[in-house]
Amino acid sequence: MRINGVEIEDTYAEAFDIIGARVLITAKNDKWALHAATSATGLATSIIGCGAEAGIESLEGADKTPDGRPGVNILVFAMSHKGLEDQLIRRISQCVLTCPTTACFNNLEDGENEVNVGGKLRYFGDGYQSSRRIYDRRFWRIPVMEGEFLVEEKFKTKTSVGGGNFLILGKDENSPLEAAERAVDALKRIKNVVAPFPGGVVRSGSKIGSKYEFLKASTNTPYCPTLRTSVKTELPENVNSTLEIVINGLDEESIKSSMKAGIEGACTVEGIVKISAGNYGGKLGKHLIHIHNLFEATK
Amino acid sequence: MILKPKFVTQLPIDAEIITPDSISGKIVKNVENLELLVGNRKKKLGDIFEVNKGTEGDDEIIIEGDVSKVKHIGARMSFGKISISGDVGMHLGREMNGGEICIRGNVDDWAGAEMKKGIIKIYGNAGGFLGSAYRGSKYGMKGGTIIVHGNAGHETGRLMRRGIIAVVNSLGNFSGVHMNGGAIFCFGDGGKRIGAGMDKGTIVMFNKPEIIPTFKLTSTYNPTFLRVFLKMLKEYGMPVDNKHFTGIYDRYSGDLASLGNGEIYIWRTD
Repeated sequence: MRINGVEIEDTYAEAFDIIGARVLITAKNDKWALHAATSATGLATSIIGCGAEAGIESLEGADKTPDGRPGVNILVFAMSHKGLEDQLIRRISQCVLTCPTTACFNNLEDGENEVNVGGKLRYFGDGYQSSRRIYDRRFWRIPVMEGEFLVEEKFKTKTSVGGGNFLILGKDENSPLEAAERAVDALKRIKNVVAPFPGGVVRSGSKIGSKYEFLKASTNTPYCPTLRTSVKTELPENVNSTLEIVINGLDEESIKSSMKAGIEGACTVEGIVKISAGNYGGKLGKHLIHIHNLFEATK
Repeated sequence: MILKPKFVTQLPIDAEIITPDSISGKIVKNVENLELLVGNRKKKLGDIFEVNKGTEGDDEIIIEGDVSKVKHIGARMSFGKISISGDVGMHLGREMNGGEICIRGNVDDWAGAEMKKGIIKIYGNAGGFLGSAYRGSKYGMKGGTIIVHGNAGHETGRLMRRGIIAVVNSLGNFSGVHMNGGAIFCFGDGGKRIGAGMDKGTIVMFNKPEIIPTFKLTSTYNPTFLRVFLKMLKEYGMPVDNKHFTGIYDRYSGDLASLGNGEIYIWRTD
């Protein structure tokens, strides 16, 4: 299969189950909502080293937020409900509670489970916190030096999909970077997904395991151009740089849509030789997303 | 089911059985045979009301006409809807636990007293003790929502524990007295001694009321939580304007003669 002359390898991206939540951060204006959202999704690229994977999903208009102020949706993922609760508490307490004018709401309607966030953060109020129930939602008001911080008690969670991915193989360093930027721009238009790495792009893709027993993952040697003569390489002769796009989503369909949009965006750049995907032989997860299948409906 | 009062009486009618819980799923004849009290005498519902099977679902009761002497309509109901065109007697929706009551008329005292869930919409005036605790009870309304598009009487929300009462016009004297939680909104004038003796809870006034001396001004700001309430009230047809969302509120804390954790917010027009 080829798109704009770029070879699309007949392989699959291997993704895994993960638990996700959508958090809506509102503030006086976009600027402060984005400050909080950027901070709350910091150091959240890979579960392996960060405890969570997170990113900014979308801006929300004031007419669609519970408090009628502009907001930012972030998606946060962890490997368990307990882990996600812990991460949400840490991130909201350190990055949203502390940020001027913000408030924080659950924004996932079809969750399967709930984690208690505001109900634990409330203790910061040192006994002066109070709750208000509006419709069937409970909110905590925590007095702070600026005035008050409002946070919803329960945040819904759902089983989601982590690790959707594709690889962009290019002739030089520049073309995969430009292609990756276009891919990320394209997939940002898809709801329910985030690309949690810096700018949505990974230059240091990993393989499972290592020669060192203490490491769970190590550099993806078959795709490292400098190791072409040292290991069994996956790189065509004319490829000198590879970048990976990693996508987490609240459901598999959104991951597929975003992969398709991303690959189509990447294939518009000259110098791209091939699109592949992170395939771990079924060791990583149960979601096998075949790249060719993404485009079959539009053939 | 459609109920039309057959005659006007000066005797009070105790009609606890007029709830979807009692009537839903019954045929007209069985509904007519339900018993209620007229004065101190048992009567059949069919003696007092003309009963017809309406086109609405089983869970909806429509009352057409003046039932101002009929008490306890919707008491303890847990689901469904009661729609009333006309004035209604005391204790409407008392201790209700779910569902909706909608009245196009005035409502007598004790509506929504000690209710736990559900919503009462009054497109007229409400009497005294709206959402209040009965004498001797520890708490009044413990949940749910009461929307009044007219005035509400004295001691509205007395000993209220949770829930929301919103009033478009004026509130009677001693509204929110001994409140212990929940929220009262008033877009009109407040009566005297609003929030007297309140321990907890929130009263929001959009016209400046008389504030008793045992409330003290703590701060002036735009509270985020109020915006969430206002959005809900706007959906219920309350006269919420953009200026209420963006406005500044004076927050008074009190009643300092009691526990003092209650609050009265007053919207500043300047």
